Amino acid sequence: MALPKRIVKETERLMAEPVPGISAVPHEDNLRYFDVEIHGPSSSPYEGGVFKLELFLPDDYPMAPPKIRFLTKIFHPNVDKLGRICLDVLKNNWSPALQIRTILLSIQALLGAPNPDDPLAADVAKSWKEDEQAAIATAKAWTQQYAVPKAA
Amino acid sequence: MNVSGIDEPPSKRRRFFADSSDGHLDEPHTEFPVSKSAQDHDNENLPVFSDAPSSPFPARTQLTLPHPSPGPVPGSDPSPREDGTNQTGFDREMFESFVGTSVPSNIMAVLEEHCGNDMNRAVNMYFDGTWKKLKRKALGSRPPATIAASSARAEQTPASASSSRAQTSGLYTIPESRYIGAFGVEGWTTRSGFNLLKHGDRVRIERQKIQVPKPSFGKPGPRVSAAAAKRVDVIVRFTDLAGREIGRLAKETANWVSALMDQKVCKFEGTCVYAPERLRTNDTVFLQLRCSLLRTAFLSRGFEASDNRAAGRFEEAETSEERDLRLRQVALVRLFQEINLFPTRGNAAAAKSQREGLLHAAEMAENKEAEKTKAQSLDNSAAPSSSEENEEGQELEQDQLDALYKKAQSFDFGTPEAEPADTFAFSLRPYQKQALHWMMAKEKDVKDQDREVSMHPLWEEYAWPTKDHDDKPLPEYPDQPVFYVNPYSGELSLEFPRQEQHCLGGILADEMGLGKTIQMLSLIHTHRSDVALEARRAAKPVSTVNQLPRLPIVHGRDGTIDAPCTTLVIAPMSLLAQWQSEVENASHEGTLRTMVYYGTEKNVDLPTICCEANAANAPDVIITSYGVVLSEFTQIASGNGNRGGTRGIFSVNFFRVIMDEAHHIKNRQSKTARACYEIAARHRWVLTGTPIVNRLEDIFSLVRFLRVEPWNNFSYWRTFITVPFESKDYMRALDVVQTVLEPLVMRRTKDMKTPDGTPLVALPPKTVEIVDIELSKEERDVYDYIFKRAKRAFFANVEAGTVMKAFTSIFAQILRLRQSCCHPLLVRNQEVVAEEEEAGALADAAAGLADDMDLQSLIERFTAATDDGADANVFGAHVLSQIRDEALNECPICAEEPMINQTVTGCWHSACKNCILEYIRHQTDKHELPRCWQCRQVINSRDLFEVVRYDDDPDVPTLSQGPRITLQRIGIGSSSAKVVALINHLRELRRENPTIKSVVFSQFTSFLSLIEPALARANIHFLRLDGTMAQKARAAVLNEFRESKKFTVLLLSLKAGGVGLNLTSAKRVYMMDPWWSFAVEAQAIDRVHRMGQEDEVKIYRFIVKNSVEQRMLKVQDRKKFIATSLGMMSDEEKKLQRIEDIKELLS
Repeated sequence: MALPKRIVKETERLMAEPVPGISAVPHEDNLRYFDVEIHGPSSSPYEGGVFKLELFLPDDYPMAPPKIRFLTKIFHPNVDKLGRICLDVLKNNWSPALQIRTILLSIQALLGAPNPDDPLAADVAKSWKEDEQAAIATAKAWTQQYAVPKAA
Repeated sequence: MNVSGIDEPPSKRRRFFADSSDGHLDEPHTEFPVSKSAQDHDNENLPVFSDAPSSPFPARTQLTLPHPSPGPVPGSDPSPREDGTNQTGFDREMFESFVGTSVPSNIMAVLEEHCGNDMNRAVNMYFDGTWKKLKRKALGSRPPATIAASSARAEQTPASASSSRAQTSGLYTIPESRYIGAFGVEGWTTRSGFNLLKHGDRVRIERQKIQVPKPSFGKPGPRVSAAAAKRVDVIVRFTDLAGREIGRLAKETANWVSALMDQKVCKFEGTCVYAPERLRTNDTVFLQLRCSLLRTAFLSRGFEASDNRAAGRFEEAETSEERDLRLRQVALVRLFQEINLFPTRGNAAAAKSQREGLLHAAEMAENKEAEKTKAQSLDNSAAPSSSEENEEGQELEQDQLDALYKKAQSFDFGTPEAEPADTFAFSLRPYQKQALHWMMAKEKDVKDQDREVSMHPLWEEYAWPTKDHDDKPLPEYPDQPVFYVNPYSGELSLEFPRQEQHCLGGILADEMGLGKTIQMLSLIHTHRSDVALEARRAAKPVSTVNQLPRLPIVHGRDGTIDAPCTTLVIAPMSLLAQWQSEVENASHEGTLRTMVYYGTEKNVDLPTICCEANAANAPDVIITSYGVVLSEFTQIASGNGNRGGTRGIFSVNFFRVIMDEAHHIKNRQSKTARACYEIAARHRWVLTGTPIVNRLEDIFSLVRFLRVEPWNNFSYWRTFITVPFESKDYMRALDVVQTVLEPLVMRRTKDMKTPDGTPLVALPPKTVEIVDIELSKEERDVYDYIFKRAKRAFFANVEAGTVMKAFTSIFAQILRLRQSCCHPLLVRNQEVVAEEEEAGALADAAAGLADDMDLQSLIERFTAATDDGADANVFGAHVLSQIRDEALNECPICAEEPMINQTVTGCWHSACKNCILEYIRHQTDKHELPRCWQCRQVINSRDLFEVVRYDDDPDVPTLSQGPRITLQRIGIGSSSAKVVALINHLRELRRENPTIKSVVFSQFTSFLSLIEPALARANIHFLRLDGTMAQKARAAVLNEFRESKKFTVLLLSLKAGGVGLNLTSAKRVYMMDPWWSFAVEAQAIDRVHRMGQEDEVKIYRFIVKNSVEQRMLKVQDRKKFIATSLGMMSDEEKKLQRIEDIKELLS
């Protein structure tokens, strides 16, 4: 199936005008499959980390939202162990007017503003609520451990 | 089978046997008494007594009769009966001495006829009185041919039957019989006893006497009744030399042997090969029959195109004469099979299979005959309507059609050219000049010198055997080495049967757009009758003599009056105006007088104005329609059939008649076709781009109109073409058709190339694009509903086995299904539709919305409200103007830029129409409320408005803010997907090219009516032409379309506009719905893409995806389902085929 114009255009624009701190590169053999990297927002526990995600555009995109998950281990109340993300625009609040770019921006924002009230990873959310400082420290530690690129 | 016959079984070896009296010289059975040889003739060997001593057939050539070398021909010096003496064969004196009284010579003749030289039998017959019964029949039934034979022989001069066919003139050299072969047969005995028959005994082969001959004097073909009686019994007896019946031939053989004997084609002489010593009744004996062809066989007047006209306007049934011929034909073929005689020259491939084919054909003919007779009686009583009636014949598969066309198209580019007369205003292309030359030659019947004399396709050449079955040499006749047989009719001939053609016209079958009309007009200009030329030379408008046209006196046959200057053109009604204008354009001022004979203009007296006396003022061309021809014909037919009594078309014998779009009469049984056959004219021409629409019979009708002998006889055609074709002997049938057509047809196609590689006609390219249409949900619902119902009904019928009965209703449902692809309104109850519309309008009034809103006025409304200070309205006005501006933006959903059919929601957010609809569907499928992608308001699918911009419309002034824009509600009240697609295409086109003209075809005029308002709303100028319009109105429409300088659409119904029209001023074609056969669509397309077209033509075919239409395309590809014959199914098998197709449509 030919790639819909919309996907082509979005990809082109992601390449031409990249969002600061975000990169999304389609696979050569499957243009609906993107390797995504999101830089942890500054003044967040994830600062300095580069988080890898995978993003897949289903056949009925943009009627249906893209499927996206973290590949890099992350300590975040809205991301579960498998990397799945709890974000309304990825679910009920999806609108076909949203795009890859806007979704990735939302995720970046989510990193800056974890929402333990609407958790996906219950244990993480619990520790976040009970002891936010400890949780943030854990998040920082995980970021250091898993997300900071090792010097070559 | 080896044709040379070297390995033939001994029993079938050829024998030398010139005739019986020679035979004994070579006869190995010496115990055979020589003295008996004189008696050993059957009646055929005897000189036949001529009732007319002066032969009606004049001696013609002076060739002498070569005597057979081994001995004198017995009976070579017979005397007429009047001389009272007869030296050979039946010995009258001996007979008289037997009966003891003098016998009148006429009685003697009868006896002789029936007993040959069997004196015993003759005596018996004389005494028991059976001769009386025989007498009259025998005299009456004596075929004239036999008389000719006897007199010819008597005078020792060649005789030539006064037949049109000269074949019989070769008769002089053949002895009264000539050996052609021998074969073994079985017989069974009817008596018992010892030593009745032993090996080597000769037996006589005799026919059963006819029991109930009917006297029939003075009528042509009295033999018929006798033959009818004979047909009932086919018993062939064999008797010993004393005349005692020993037995009969096996029925199988007797069937055809009897026919040959009855019709005096052959004589047979038997020799016993094996018989049991003690014979009992019903024992099998084996005989060898030597067969000799009789002279009379060659005399027989065969199939004298006993023609259609004799049968008048009604379909001819097979006459008994034709039945005789068929019997004879079958018998001959069987005989040749038995004696292993193969043609030395023929047209078909394998002689053996061909014979089987022929036998099969005859069989079929017999069955068919029965059916046909039935059909005919129906036909005649239930006066068939003029339209489609049951058609005979199988449809041609596409590849067969291709093969046929290919053969018919072997156009020789070396054909000479002819220059048109100087009164002709156009210049012709080379290929047109060639056609002119050809047509002139046809009309003047100039024999093409280059053409080799070819053997008549139906004949085969056979060599006379030179050795008999015992390898003894036979007497040779050096000038007579071969004979010819027509295995189709059973005719025999000694003279080379040439293919001749006596038709002063033909078929111009050039593909559409090659200028058939122009070529015909050039012929009208260039070949005029002498009378016309004379009148023209006189040049004075009204000569003194002609000032008062006298009552015409020149009568043709049937009481018609010659119209030596006039060409009659018959064309479909829609083409009359076009013909007239083309005639005028093609002629220099005043060189051709035309007249349209139609409607009120019909009020003229054709015989008076066209007669020779009025030659100086007679119209050169009269143009009329098929309808007029039919109605005048019906008038005459319902009257007394007297042509002269009327003053119309049938009262005149035209110089030339031209039938345009001649496939109109492809059904030979339609009244129109029959009417056209009856038009009297010297030259007859047929114009058609598709000589065969789908069956071989289509051509027959043309050939019949052209009066091409003998093909215009349907029985002939059927026997030689239809039947072989239907019995799957395609090659033969097509070969014959080709031979028929080759001299008659000139056909060139557009893609033909001249020898130097340039195309015949350089037409601009054309592209055909299939536009997939996606039905809206509402349309799909309607479609699915009808589809399910049709499918259920169909398969229920299949299960119940009532498909045939329910055929009409099934077909009606398929029709509705197809209509529902075009527009759901076509299949809905109009009242319900009206109510729905009313209800919708009420709801809108409540919501303050309308189906069609002018955006500008909306903005103004909101702006006006702004003055009151309502923020919401400021926002509203802002949004609305944004809608206008946004149109060029990209769609938020599919990223198309600009949006395709920008559509706004009730919350005034824009996207492509399809994106919105798809989104709504997607959400609904997930059982979620569709919410706006921008503001997340719930979208009401009723409140979707398509933004229609009039930037494509040159008539609408552009406003300062940009082009005029309106909002049109989508869904209820809007048009169908197809109409929308059409309008979008047209508007896109208008944007690119504001003056281009297009044609829109649909087969449903009601659909055209639904397209009209959509065009009007889009402010697209349109015209319409359909079958309901009067001729004048049509001409006006066509003229307006041609002259129009602005963007114009012509709505045309496929039926009314599919043929003939010249619409080259248009450049785009939109086919709204597929027809069963693409040929019909192609024809419609060729109205635009034809000679005179200067630009590329683009054709768009709108096909609804996943629908019956898409499957119809597949059916089109196979070209099996042909709608023209759908109305009436004549035969179950064809119906079944269609059922299969419907099954495919509904699968």
